[in-house]
Amino acid sequence: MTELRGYIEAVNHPSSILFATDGKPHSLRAEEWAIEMVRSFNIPLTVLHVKDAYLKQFYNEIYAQGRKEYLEHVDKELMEAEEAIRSDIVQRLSHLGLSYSFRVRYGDPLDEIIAEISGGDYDLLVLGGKRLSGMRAFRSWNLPARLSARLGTVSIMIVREEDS
Amino acid sequence: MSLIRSMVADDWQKYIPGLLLCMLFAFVVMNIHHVLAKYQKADEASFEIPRVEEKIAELSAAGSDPAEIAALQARLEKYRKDLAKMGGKVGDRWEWATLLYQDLQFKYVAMLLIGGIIIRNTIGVAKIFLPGIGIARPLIKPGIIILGVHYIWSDVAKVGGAGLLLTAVFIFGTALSVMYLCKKFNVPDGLGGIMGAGTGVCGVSAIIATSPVVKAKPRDMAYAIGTILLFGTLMLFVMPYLGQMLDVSQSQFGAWAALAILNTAQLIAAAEWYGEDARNTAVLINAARIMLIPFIVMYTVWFYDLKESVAHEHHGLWNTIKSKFPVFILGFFILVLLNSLNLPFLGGPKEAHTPFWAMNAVYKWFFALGFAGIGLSISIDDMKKAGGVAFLVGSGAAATKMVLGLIAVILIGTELLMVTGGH
Repeated sequence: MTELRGYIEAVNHPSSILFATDGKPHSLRAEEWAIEMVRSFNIPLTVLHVKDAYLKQFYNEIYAQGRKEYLEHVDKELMEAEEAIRSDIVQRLSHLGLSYSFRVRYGDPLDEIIAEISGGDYDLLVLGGKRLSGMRAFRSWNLPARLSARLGTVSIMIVREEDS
Repeated sequence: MSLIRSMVADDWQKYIPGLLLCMLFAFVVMNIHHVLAKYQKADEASFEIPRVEEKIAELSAAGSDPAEIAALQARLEKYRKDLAKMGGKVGDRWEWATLLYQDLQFKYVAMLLIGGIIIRNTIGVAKIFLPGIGIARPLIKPGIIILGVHYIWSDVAKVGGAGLLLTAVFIFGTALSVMYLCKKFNVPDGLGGIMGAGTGVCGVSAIIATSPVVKAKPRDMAYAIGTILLFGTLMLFVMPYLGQMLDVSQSQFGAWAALAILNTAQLIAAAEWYGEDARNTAVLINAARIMLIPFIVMYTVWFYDLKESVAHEHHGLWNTIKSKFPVFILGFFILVLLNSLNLPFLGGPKEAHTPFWAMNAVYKWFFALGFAGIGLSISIDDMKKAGGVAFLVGSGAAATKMVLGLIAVILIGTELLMVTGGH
């Protein structure tokens, strides 16, 4: 980490970081890196959580019964996930006395992260990435790779998950 | 006026582009289907006419039964009409049409599903169309209700009875095995519950009905839905060809599909693709199957000992059953009842210019719109969500049901599974 700081200081360091998280283990590792950079350069951090609407598209299934109940359940679960992520990161950032803002978007993660970057003043996106190989790579939706392909000027840091 | 307003969604405009896209897609495909069918019939006619003429000459020379000769003459007349429609003469061949339509079963169902999947996963579908495509899928429902005119009560008692017994054994057998194995291997109750219901009854519909009750987590629901869509899509394309290879009769195939394919839209598509008799059996057995959804939900409640939470959050067990009952299927049974009464002014699906005949003429359009919606909404990315324990459970249950379902329908035979329609 110290080597990284030295390298980034030697060039231009980022002035505003966007950290996208889904609260999963690979995101938690990326969170450590994002926090370390924010601490090192004393720059603002924006934490973004996208509530994925994937499950909601199925409520209209032909024989689906209890649609309203299902949608309420999905909303409740997504809300609880958001709260868990928020409380965890807010606690850590407040404890370290760092400047941050927490943003929530709703929709397809790829589109929403891009929309957030387009509407904000970020120059680095940090997010976690799973270690993918073989069938897992084929089946994966691979958000970091898709983001990398679609983002123009903003740099991306993909922090890979540790060996389990 | 306020009643009408209350029936219309506030943001109904957002559904228009997708619905129009599905209508256009269905219209184009149905026309291709009709043209292909005409060429296939003309090809068959061109091939058969000399054979039938020869046979008639043989029978006439031998002084055979005039009724047999008359039947052959009627067939010859039909062949001549089919050939004349395409402006052909005996000896002209359209073998490509026979290959596509008959050998490869490239009918409107396949065109809509395969075409839709290709469009969705290659050029993609713009976001503006997605809400309308989503709402097109349930348009299969009115089609299913209309199909009630194809049945009489004796069909419901015979095929529906056999189907109800079969589905009850398969549904509760699958649900019980899956839930028991999940519990034994410490799979979380939420996932075990939705997989038990999902692999037992009708896939995503059952997951939607069960997930709030067992409080399934979004990640597990995504895995479960992805797995069910993946296996449903695989079976939708594999089973019709497998059925032909194994020489499974249409009625047996309909029952097999109703047992093995979890997703209702996909099972109806597979059966319709296989043929009219397959569809008639599949729809009836599926009607019996979906009526078991409330009971499978209650079984899940009992299995996971959730009675208290259900009674508290859903205002009682009876209300839970009521809220899970597929009310629209009553429309289907009302039409079965009317058809059984054989009322002259209603006619029948094959009696031209009668109300039931007119209804029968439009059901395919509802199906076509629904299948267009299904094809255009099958995203490979959605199926990639399949994974985790759900994938292992889903694949095991799907493969077992397919094999056991095939054995069951072969043992039962065609007769008990055949719908007569009564007209």
